[in-house]
Amino acid sequence: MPDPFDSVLYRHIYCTLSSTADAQCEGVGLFGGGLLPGGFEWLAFVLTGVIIVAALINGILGAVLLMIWGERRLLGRLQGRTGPNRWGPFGLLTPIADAVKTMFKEDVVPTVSDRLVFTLAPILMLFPALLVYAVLPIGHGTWLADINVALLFIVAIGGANVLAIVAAAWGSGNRYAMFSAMRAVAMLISYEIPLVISLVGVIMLSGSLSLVAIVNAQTIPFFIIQPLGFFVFVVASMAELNRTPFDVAEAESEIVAGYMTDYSSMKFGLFFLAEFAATIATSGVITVLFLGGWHGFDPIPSQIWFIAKMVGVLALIVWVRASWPRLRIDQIMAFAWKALFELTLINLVVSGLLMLAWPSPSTTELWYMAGINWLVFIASIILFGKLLGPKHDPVSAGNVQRDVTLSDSDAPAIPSGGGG
Amino acid sequence: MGIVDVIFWLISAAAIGGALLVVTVRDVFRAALALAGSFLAVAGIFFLLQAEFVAVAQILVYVGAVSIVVAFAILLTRDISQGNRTQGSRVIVVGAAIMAVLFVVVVGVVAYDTDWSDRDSGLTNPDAIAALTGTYEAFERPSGEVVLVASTDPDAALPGVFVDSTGWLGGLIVRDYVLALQALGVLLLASIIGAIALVREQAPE
Repeated sequence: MPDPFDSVLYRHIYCTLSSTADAQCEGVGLFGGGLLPGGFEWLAFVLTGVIIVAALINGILGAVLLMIWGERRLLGRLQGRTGPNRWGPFGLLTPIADAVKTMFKEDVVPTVSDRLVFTLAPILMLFPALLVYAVLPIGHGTWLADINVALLFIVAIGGANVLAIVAAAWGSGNRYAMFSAMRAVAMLISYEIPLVISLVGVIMLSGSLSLVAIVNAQTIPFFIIQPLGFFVFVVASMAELNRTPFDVAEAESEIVAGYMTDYSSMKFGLFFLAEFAATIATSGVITVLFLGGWHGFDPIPSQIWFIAKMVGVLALIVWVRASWPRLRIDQIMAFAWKALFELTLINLVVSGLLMLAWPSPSTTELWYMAGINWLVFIASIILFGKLLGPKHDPVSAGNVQRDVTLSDSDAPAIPSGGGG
Repeated sequence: MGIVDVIFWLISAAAIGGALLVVTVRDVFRAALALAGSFLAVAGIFFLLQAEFVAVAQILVYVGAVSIVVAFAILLTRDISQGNRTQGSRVIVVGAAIMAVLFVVVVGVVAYDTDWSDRDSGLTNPDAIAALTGTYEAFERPSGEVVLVASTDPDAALPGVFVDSTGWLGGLIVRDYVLALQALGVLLLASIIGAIALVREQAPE
């Protein structure tokens, strides 16, 4: 089990509260320490955890509001619109107005629903998204838990939201929701495989599953040494997040809003919150694994570096959303199994051979590895583009209308971002 | 009773409560959710025992895969949401008796086989460590502290047995028992091919 006192934040708050002069509290803690009377160290232990978790969750809520604003503004820019700009400077207060509106809506529960499961599903959705932050290091000594299997933990917890989607679909008792759950399960399970295998290169280079150790190992950011792993991980993460090129689970032009169709008010709000919290967490994970985490140069604090890189990844994700239309489910599955899976296997073999050649690489050898990996990356992308390009794909060749059952005239425009 | 004990009892209550819900709740889907909750609580116990890898594997395999397969099977079962949820087995008493006997036997054997003397001190008996670890060797430092020494890298050894359970398990899987791992891979491949052969659409004749 990780020692909570490894965390600077934890040590400071605990030492401020606890009255015992532990060795860990030498010169740490505000007000000289000891706000609680003696004999209440256990309360300090618990309170510290509660304070940190409360601060973290509120921080995530704030970050989600900012992210919603930033995404809408950036989408507007990318699509030649203005985006929200009325309420507050640059429209900064718009998400707060949205949140208030969401909370005051009527909370509709369908009569055919399984009420307990229906209520539980949004909560189940939010909890894996929040748990990722427990192991995410956002700066020197700024993390909650440095467990030695943190990377596996993130992957395992990330897979749990499939259960929430299935629960939402079952609870709603609605056909569109069922379709959505089928699509979501098929897609998420398929993309989990390349997602995990693409990480093996990073694990081999750093020799650890601990995120802190992985950041410390990055004298050169790993996206330079592992371009193929980076590419596959980013694409597979976007699929896991259900974001736009991959959002077949809530495709509003086909199945209303998928598993969220029957949800309104704050239950819908929780889904929305979970989606954005997971997006921010994933960009944090990408930053930690491939962009060197909190590393940067000195006058700027490490936490600022981390957040700056994370915002960059978020901008990339929004850019992808603005640039590509939604793919069909068969295209998505074909892409996972015919392209991403093979690419990760190539990456795995090449990285393994390189690690055999240089078991503990020096900086120069790391650059050699990077050069070879980039050549492999470019060659395999070109190869797979040729193999799976439009000419060889019988499904997409001249068969665009296949899935469309309603013509444009008898389907009224359904507003996106629904929620009733 | 330390805070760890409180956490242990809470998690254990969750695990047993979830398991009880699985067999008592009438609605199959709720039972599946309770099953996932019970698995999660068991993962919590592994975390408490400092077996992080096993804990995460528990979440990955049981919560992330087995529960979803169960839930998906329920989704695909026709008419299950319209009543007909009761289990109408007449031999339920016989089944319960068999399961009770099996449960007692399994718990009894495990309790009898466990060396309870090491319960509080952690594993400090060098013989036990040597027996458990195979290629690793137990080594007693001048201070009396027992450490594990990998035969390849003595300096990397850390005090205590399960400090680096992930690396230790990894060594066991891909070095000591690699043949079993490969056999398992062949078995999995065979079952995947079998599944494809079963569900493949028949070509029109």
